[in-house]
Amino acid sequence: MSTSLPAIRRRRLPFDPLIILWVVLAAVLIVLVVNPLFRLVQTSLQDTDTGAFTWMNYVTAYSRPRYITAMLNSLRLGAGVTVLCLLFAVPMAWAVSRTDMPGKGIIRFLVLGAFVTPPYLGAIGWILLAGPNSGWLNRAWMAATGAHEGLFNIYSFGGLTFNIAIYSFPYLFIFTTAALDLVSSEMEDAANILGAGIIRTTLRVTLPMALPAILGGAIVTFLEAIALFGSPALIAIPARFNVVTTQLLQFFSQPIRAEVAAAYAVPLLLITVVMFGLQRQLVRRRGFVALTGKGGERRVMQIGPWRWVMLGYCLLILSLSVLLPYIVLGQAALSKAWGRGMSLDNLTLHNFTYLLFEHDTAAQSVINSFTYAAAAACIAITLGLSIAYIASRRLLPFAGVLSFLCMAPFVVPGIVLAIAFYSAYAPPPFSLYGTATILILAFATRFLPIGYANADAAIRTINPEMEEAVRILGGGRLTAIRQVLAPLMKRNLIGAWLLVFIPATRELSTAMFLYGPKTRTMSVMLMDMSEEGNFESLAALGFLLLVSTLVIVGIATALLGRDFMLRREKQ
Amino acid sequence: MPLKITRRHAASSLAALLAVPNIARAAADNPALEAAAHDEGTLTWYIAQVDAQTAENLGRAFTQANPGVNVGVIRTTGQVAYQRLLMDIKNHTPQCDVFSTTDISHMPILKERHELTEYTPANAAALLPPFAALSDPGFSYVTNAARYFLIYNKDKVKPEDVPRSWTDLLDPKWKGRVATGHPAFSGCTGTWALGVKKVHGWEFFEKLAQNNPRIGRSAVDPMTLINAGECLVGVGAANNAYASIDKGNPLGVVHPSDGLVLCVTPSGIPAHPPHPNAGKLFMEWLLSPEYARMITADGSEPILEGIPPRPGMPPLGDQKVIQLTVEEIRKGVPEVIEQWRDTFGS
Repeated sequence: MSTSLPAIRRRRLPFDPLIILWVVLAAVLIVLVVNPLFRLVQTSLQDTDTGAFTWMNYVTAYSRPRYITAMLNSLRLGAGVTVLCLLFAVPMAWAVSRTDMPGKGIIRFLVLGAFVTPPYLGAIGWILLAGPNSGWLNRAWMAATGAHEGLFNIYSFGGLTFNIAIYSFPYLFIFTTAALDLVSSEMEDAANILGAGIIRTTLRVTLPMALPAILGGAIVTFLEAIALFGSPALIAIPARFNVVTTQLLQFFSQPIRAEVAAAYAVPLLLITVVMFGLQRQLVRRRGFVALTGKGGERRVMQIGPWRWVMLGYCLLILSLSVLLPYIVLGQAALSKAWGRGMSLDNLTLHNFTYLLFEHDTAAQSVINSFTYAAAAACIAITLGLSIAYIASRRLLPFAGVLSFLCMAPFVVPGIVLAIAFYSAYAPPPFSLYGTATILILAFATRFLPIGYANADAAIRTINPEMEEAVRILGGGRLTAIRQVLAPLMKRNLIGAWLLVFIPATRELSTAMFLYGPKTRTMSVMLMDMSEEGNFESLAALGFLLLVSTLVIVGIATALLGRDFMLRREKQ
Repeated sequence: MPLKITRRHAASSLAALLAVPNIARAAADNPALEAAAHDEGTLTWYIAQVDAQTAENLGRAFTQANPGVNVGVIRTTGQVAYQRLLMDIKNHTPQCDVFSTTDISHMPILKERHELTEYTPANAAALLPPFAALSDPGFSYVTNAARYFLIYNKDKVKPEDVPRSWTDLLDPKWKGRVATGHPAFSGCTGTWALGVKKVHGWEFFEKLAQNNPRIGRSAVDPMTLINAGECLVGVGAANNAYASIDKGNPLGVVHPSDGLVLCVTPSGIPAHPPHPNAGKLFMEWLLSPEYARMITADGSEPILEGIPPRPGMPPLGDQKVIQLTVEEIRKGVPEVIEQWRDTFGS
């Protein structure tokens, strides 16, 4: 109904002085997104010493079998993780969203636990659980069966895939529940009336309605999996294989070959662009009219005794992902020497007091992580919101391009983004290397798509007529935004802010390349501690991270009066 | 006559000046440097040889001796510290005031690129001859040295099974239970691999690969795995091992009969340090007896004259040591890293 409205409005208001503000915002977007990616491609085509044009970096990057193997390993890893996540997340999301499974609150809380757990912390938990000889699970297995060898080996390709999957599935879970929450029961009823059972209805009607969300989630999962640095450093190096991220780090050891690293990363960019293209094609050909967010009655399905089966399945996955790892990490955090196992004389709180009061940089790294994440979240939300507003109210020509740019970082794996930022802003004239600014900008860019997507969704729920009423009564656009839009969107924006903030607090792959002595984040700190085997302090720091994040989420949930993460699309 | 006496006085006090650093803090002799360092107030130390907790303790001890000058400690593995330093240099954003690495060949490379500040600490002459020989007067000085030897889990390895030489690690009974660091990360591990290669050839590592060793990153990693019982035997540095034993971990150490490798840490000041005076004062402290005593307590070698070794440690002189020159390390370690990746796959 409002398709022709913007055109009319534009004619009526040929010039708005605020256009300058919008132009500034667009310029910021170019600095954050366009320039780094442009510099990445440019660097990949430059000679290290002379800066002259060359293809040699690509030759170097892809001439050694070892480098190509690493690339293939990453693609296999990404595919494996995505498949596992689909198996974990989709049934769980369906059970939570569409069925009468009991204990949904606990399941949602545990998924939140998995979401806030940094994957590298989980990897350490799993090294303690499934180390082939000393892992708790393996020792239990050996004790129970008398076997001489453990059952699980975390130091393997399968081990790494599994480990990444149990910490990546929340993305897919969030995407899928959000979509399923909107599907009204009418279609399911129709299928039922025509004789379809629960399984058939779910597979043929319910899930296909959520297909765009599931596909989107799957692609994000794939990209996250290949962009991870921490888990492969902890598991793949001892397991003696390389992936893209560990290989990229090698290009930064002496002699530093940032140009080769850029060349090595560019094809990754192309792969992800192709994937998103495919997703759009797949989604475009079908209608998903039920996802209007309007009306329609929603009822949960009665699945009888199966609801206990589903609960068991969800709890199984979440114990693997949250409960078991935190038990072993808890043991380490409270131990003087974790190798000595559980005993009273081994019990101490010193690891916590040491980190908080004695360690010179731990407290600073905690502060760094939270301030950078908060700043990045503010930038990402402000920018995302502004662009979403410009795009939806068509205040600028080429607004579609701006929205595309907001989503573009989505297709850039974190580590590639870090290298792009490194190429663009580390050297003079910007000389931002080692500053907080470069980390904040990189985090903001990395999570801008989350900010934009949420802001866009929030703006779409608000009819422009309300602002127009303000403007007819003589208020300016800023007044309209301040007095009408902002109060209406406050809750959505706090939720979106958290969705940027949480992953930013634990972000490692970008921080890895961009931190300096004064700007170490908690994620980098945890990796350093893992390197020197200081698992007691590391586990304690992990708990501090978990608790502080949960406190912040708790405060936000109280402010919002609802579960921010898992039901953000509803109502 | 009085003149002569004065001269003698002068000479003896000069001698005292030269001798004093052996006893008192060298930095105390240089109030101008102390004042300038105090004005700068802070310094950043890239350090690889010790674990973070020890490094922080060392930094704090320096601040205690020099109130008002704080030490920002960046502890990581040697090759990673070097990588960071090179990135700092490449981006013209100097961060590091004192650079301590575990790969001694970093220093001549930096010097040739004019990336080191020339400075001679007052107490440089007190370095023991073998360490003075590995130092580059005016540019870099050995400030730590630790034995790199065999470590094992005392609770799980029977006394008769304890490995006595590097080649014992090739025994199939250790399949899946040997732990090492990674030469691409750890400078010490690179030096060790080069030393073992010198004695046994690269075949040693090809055979070791068949034993499916667990490869960490840092030289500290094997200790962690062995303490946990995940691995049983491996390669470790004395200073980390003794610190871990003091903590109560079930760790045993063996001086290998085919020769231990000495992992030597040189320190120097990069060319454009943000806090040049604090950096110099810190270099003075790294060559002070107080510092030398602190590191020997953890099991590092005494590097200065007149410092006793950690009680109970067998004297280094009685041990077989695989000798490596700086030039050998410089040429050999990059080769070893490449060979390692080809043999072990990561």
